[in-house]
Amino acid sequence: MSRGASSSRRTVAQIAPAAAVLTVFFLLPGAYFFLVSFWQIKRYKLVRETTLENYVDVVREYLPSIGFSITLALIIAAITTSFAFAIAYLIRFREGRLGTLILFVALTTLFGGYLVKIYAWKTLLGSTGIINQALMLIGVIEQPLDWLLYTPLAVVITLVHFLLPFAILPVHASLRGIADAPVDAARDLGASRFRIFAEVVLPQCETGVVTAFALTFFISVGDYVTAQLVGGPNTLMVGNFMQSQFINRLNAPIGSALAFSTLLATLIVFLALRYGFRLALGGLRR
Amino acid sequence: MRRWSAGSLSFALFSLVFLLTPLVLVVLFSFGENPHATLPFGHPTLHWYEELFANSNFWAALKNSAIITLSVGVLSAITGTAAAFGFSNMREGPAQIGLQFITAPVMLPPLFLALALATAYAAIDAPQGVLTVIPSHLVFTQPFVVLVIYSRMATFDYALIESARDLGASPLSIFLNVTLPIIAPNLIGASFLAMAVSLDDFVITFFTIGGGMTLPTLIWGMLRTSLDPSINALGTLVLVMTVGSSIIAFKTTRYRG
Amino acid sequence: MTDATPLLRLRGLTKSYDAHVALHPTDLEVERGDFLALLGPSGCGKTTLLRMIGGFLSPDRGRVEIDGQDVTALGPEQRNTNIVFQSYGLFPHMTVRQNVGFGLRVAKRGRAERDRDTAEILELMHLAPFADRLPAALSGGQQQRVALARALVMKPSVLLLDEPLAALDLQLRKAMQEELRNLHHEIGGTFVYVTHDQSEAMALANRVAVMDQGRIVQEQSPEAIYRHPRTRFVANFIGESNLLAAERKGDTCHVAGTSFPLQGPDGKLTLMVRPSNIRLGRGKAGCPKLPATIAEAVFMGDYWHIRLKLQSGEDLIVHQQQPSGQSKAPQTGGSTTAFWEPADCHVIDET
Repeated sequence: MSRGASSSRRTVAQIAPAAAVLTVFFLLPGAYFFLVSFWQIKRYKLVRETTLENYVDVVREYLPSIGFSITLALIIAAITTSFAFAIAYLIRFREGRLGTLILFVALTTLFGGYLVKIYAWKTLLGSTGIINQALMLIGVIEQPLDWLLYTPLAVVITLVHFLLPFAILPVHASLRGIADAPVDAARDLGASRFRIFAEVVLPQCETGVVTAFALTFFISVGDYVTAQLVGGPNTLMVGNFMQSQFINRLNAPIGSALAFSTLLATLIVFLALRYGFRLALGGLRR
Repeated sequence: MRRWSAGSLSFALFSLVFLLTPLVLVVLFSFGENPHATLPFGHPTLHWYEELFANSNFWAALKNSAIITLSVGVLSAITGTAAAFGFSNMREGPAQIGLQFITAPVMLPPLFLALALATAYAAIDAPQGVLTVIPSHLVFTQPFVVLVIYSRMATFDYALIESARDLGASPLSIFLNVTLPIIAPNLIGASFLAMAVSLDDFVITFFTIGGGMTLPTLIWGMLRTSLDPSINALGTLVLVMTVGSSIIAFKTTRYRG
Repeated sequence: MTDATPLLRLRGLTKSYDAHVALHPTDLEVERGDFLALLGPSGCGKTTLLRMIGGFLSPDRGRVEIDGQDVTALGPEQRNTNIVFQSYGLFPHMTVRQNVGFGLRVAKRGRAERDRDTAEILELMHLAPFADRLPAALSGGQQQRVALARALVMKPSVLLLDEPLAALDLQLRKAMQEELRNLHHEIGGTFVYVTHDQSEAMALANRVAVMDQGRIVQEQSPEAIYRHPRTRFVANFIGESNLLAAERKGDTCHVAGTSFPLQGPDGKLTLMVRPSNIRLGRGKAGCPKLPATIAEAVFMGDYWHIRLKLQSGEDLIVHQQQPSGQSKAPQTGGSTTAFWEPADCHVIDET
C-alpha cells in the first residue's frame, strides 16, 4: 500500500489538536489534581510531601456524607432510568406522533437551562409555590406542605427532571436498534408481554440502560448546586463539602482526596450493580 | 406497533407535562406583573426585561457568554471534525478506544473537571478569565462534534473522494468542494450543540473564570443574593438561546433520537 | 367433495389501510399436509394474508378458522401456528439452543422434555455442532435453519414461512429448497409459504395460490397453473409465455394471418402458447402454421431463445431445443414457419 505511511501520518495530524486539548485540559490537570490529594496545606501554602493523611481525614469525617450522596444518587438514577425506559419503550412500541413529540421535547431541553430548571423547581415546590397553591385550591390539603422544598425529596425531583432527557437518549437509541421480527417471533412462540419485555427487549438494550444509569448516577453523585439551592441545610451532598473545601477553606488537598474517594466508591458501587444486573438477566434465560 | 392504551397515554402526557411545566412557568412569570413567582401571573408586562436590560452586569455577562460560546463553537468544530476524520480512517477497534478517551470528560460529573482545572490553573498562576474558560469548555464540547461527525462519516460515500482524486483534485480542493459541502449540515448542527452545552455550563465556568461573569453565573448570583424577579426574564433568555441552538442542531442534522 | 373440515379455512378475509385495499375479500382452504405457496409480486397482499393467518394482523372483516375453530380474535401467542420470518427474527442475545428452546420454555414443558425435543430438532436440522453459538456467529443458511427449527420444535398445526429464502444467494437457496421439500416429506405437517419467486413456488408446493393486487387470482396445482393460467397476469407471472390476440368464428380460430379449428363461442380472445411448445420448420398437418421471420436469436446454453416477427407485426418467442449433433445457428432475417400442437395452446378468456 503506497498510501499507508502518508495516510497514517495524516490520521495522527488530524487527531492531534483534539488530543492536545484533552491532554492539557483534562489528563494533566486530572493527574495533578490526583497528586494534590497526597499533599497538604500548611500555613496557607501547598506543601509537597506525600502523605495519606487527607484520605484518613476523608474516612474519618466524610464517610457518612459519601454514603448519603451515593444512596441519594442511586435513588435518583434508579427513578430516572426506569422513567426514561418507560418513555423510550412507548416511543419505540406505540404508533403515532406522540412519541416523536416527547423525544423532540427531551432532545431540545437536554442542554437547556440547568440553573433555570433548578430555580423553577424552587419556585414550584415552595410553600407559596404553585404545587401547594394547586393542592390547596382543589382542597386536598389545608396547610401548605412544608416537606416539598428544602428536603432530599426536592433534590430527587429536581435532578430526575434535569437528568431525564440524558437517560431517554441512550435507552431510546438502543431500543431503536431492536428489530420487530424477534419481538414478533417471541409473541408467535407464545410469550406474554412481560416475558417479551424481560427476556427479549431488556437484554437487547442492556447497553443503553446501563449507560443511562451510569450517566445519571455519576452526575447525581457529583452534583452540589441542586442540593445547595433546593436541598436545604440538612441535605448536603459530598459535592457541597468538596466545593466548600476549595471556596471557603482554600484546602485543595482535602477536596481532592474527597473527590477521588467519592469517585472510587461510586465506581465500586456501579460495577457491583452492573454485575448483579447481568447475573439477573442471565438467570432469567436459563 | 400497538395502539395507545389509556394508561400508557396518560403516562406519556404526564411525562410531557413533567418535562415542560417548569420551563413554561419561568417563561410565563417573566411576562407577568406578579413579582413573587406565584399564581396568578398578573397583567402581561415587559417590565422585568426592561429592568434586566438596565442592569450593567447583564451586558457584561452577555458579552462574556457570547465570546466564550462563539469561540467554543468554532474551535470545537475544528478540533472535533479533524479528530472525527482521523478516527474514521482508523480500524473500528482502535477508533472506539480513541473515542472513549476523547469523550471521557463528558462522563464525569462537571465538578471534578472544574476542581481539577481550578487547581491546575492555580498551580501555574494562570490569570483566570475568559481565556481560561474557553479551553476548559472545549475539552467537554469537542466530544459532541467528534461523535456527530464520526457517525456521519460512517455512512459517507468514499467513492466521491476517489472520483475527485481521479479527476485530479488536490486534497484541499477535495475537502472544500466535496467533503465539506456534504457534511456541512452535520457540522453546523454539531457546532450548535457544542454552543448550547457551553452557553449553559455553570459549574466549570464558575471555577475557572476568576472574577468575571457569564449568563449562568449571573443567574447564580441573583439566586444567592436577592429575590430579583428579573431572574425570570434572564432565565427565559438563556432558555431561548440554549433550546434554540439545540433545535437548530437537531433540525440540521435531522437527528431522530 | 369431502365432509372433513380443512385444517385452515379463510372466509371473506379483508384488510384495508386507509384508502388502500391490501386484501379484497378472500376465501382459501388448506388441507392437512398441504404445502401451499402464496405467490405474487411485492405489494400483492401475500404477506398481509400470511400475517393475518399468524394473528399479527387482525382483518377488517372475515374469519380465520384452524381445525374448525374460529381463531380470528386470537393473537399469535394463542394460535397453534408458528412463523419463520424473512429476516429470521432470531433472538440475538440467545444461543442457538436457547433460541430453539424458548417456545418450549414459554409453554412450561418439563426440563427433560425440553432438552430432548430441542436436541432432536437440532440434530434433524444439522445444527447440533452450533448449538451453543450466538446467531451472529452463524452463516445466513444456518440462521435460516435455526429459525425453522425454532418454529418446528413447537409442532405447529400450520407452519407459516414468509419468504424465508429471499436473503440467501442462489446456490444456497436451491439447496435449502431441497432441504425444505425433504423436511415436509419427513415430518409431514402443513406449510403455508409466501414467495415472489415462481420457480421456488413450483419447486416446493403442491398447491399454488397466485395473488395480484390484493386478490387470489388462481389457486391450483403448479402444473395446472402452468398449463392453464386463468388470466393474462398469471400467464406472464408463471414462466414465459406468448399472448396472441385472436378471434373465434364458427369454431375456427383466426390468429396472426392463419386459422385452425377451435371449439367454442364466437368472440375475441387471447391465445397463450409457451415458447418451449412452439416448433420451427415446415409445419405439420393439423397444426396452426404461422409464417414468420427470425428477428433475433440468442444462444442460452440449453436452448436457443428466438424472437420471431409474425406477419401481423406481433412478436413470438420460441425456445428451440438444440437437436444433438446439430450446431447450425438460426439465421437472423431468415424466413421460417412456427407451429404448435393444438393441445399446447390455451385460451385466456378476457372481457
